[in-house]
Amino acid sequence: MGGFGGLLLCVLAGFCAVRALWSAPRHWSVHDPLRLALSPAVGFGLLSLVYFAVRVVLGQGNGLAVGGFAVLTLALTAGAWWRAGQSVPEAWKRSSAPIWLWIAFAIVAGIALATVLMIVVASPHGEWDAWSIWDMRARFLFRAVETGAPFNPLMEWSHLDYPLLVPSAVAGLWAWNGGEAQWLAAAVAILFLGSAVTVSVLALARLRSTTLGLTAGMVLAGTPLLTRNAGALYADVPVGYFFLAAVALGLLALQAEDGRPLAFLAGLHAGMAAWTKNEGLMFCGVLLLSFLVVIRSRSELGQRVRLLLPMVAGMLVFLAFVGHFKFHFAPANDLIAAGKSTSMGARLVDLPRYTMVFWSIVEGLLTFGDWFVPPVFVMGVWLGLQGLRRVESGAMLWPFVAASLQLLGYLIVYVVGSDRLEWQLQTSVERLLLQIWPLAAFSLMLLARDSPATEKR
Amino acid sequence: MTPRSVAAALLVAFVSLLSIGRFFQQISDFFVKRPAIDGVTQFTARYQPVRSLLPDKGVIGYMTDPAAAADEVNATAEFYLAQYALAPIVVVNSPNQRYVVTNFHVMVTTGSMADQGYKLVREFGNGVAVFENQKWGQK
Repeated sequence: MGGFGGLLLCVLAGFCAVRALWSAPRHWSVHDPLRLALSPAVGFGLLSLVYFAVRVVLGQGNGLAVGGFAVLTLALTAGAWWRAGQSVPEAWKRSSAPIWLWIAFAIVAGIALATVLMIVVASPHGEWDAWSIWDMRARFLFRAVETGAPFNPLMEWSHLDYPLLVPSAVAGLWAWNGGEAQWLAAAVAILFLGSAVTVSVLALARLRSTTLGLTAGMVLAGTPLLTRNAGALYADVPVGYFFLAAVALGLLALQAEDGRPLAFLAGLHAGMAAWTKNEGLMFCGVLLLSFLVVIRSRSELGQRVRLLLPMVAGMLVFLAFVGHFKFHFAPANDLIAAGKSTSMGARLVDLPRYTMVFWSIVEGLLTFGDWFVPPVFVMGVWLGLQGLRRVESGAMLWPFVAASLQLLGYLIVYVVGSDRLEWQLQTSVERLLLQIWPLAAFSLMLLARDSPATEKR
Repeated sequence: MTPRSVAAALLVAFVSLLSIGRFFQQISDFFVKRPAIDGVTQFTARYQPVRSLLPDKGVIGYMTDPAAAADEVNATAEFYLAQYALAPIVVVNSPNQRYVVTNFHVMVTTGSMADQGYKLVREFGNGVAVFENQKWGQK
């Protein structure tokens, strides 16, 4: 079937999985563009689970992994078809946006796509972390003949505790291809970048207005660091995408008549974040905490509690695999292991460490993104022009609080966990901010006022 | 859209376009001048013939010359790339294994290696060879 066929199958599996949960009639439906934008990442997540289960847990060959994913896709297609028969037509009052904004978005997105294509053609193996961690692990998963070989403790320098969504999905695609092909790793990276932009546009078009959706799309597509990181084949764009998609789906769940399937999908995306990078584990906690805390009325509390169970259930699908991986194959995370060596408690009250991390993050924010003008200033002026929206419900504050809590979590991990704090700050602050960037841009759009003609609510 | 909203959207469009446009220019300048084969492909290609010699599993040692080891970042990168090329064989950054793969940048004679206790198994050119550690298992 080849690598391209494998990619198409991932999109199909993802689309059917989303439609099986968030169902719609059998014809093309108004929310299907958003479902389609969610599909590649869901497909990669499912492929990575099947591949990990077959190759690592069961110790079977690549052929069985290919067959297993084909069977899963068939089952999901049948599930989506069956659920479609029970669905009622979807309604959505689309808001309009000026044509010049569409053109501007298309130009910015087109340039970003051309740029990332040039990067992956020039450096098909990506940058340092790609070939020393992510693609290295994909090679081990694909080539190794014995269970556990990819996690040999002699390679602890390769961060063996890092979760496996990206390498396992890439290895799964190589299995479909019948051999290693570096363009498939690049395709995964580019599809994650594309999904981050399109999900942002389409979700905001549903939650607020097309104008704000396109603005968010331009902010993300116009961020050189996001394009560069995707071209480097790192996992920060995928994990950042999952942060964004989980919250966007959670907000759609809060708006829906029966939001449980969407809440399950939101949890599924948070779980996929945890299966992508360790920061995703923290995000699962942040998502649930912020979901239950940012509440402004008793009716909101009841609604949140009803959606909590499906959200947690969705998370557990992937967290079960994360747990199996962590307990059976992965060594302790280097930051946690480092924290054990000296007193974490002593670090917790070490004020100069807080100051150092705080100023490093402030500096990172001021120079973030390789923008022509720092985005903090641009988005500040943008928000000044748009004006702040009146807070009517906790839902609109939720994404902002989730992004802020995640950032606070990073600060605390730096303070208590890092043995080489200065070096760690120098090498990772930019990437951690990048992970939060899609969610932060999305949350700004929810906080801003929109013009009366296009405001939805 | 109100005039303020138009101004806000125009601001974002303008800065986004300038930012990604400048980055596009930087990358396209590099793209037209890039080498025919990227550095990682070029480096790892040296180890392709070694892979066919090695079994599907196991551990192999690694040795580079002192001149390369002095440049710590490059030496680390080359060791990681050797591992990247030779997976799923595990490469350890030490010659204390039965078999050792080399990454030499300067001329090293098989005689000098033999003096250190390493017998040539096969040479692949470009500083890449597999040696057997004669002292392995003696301690």
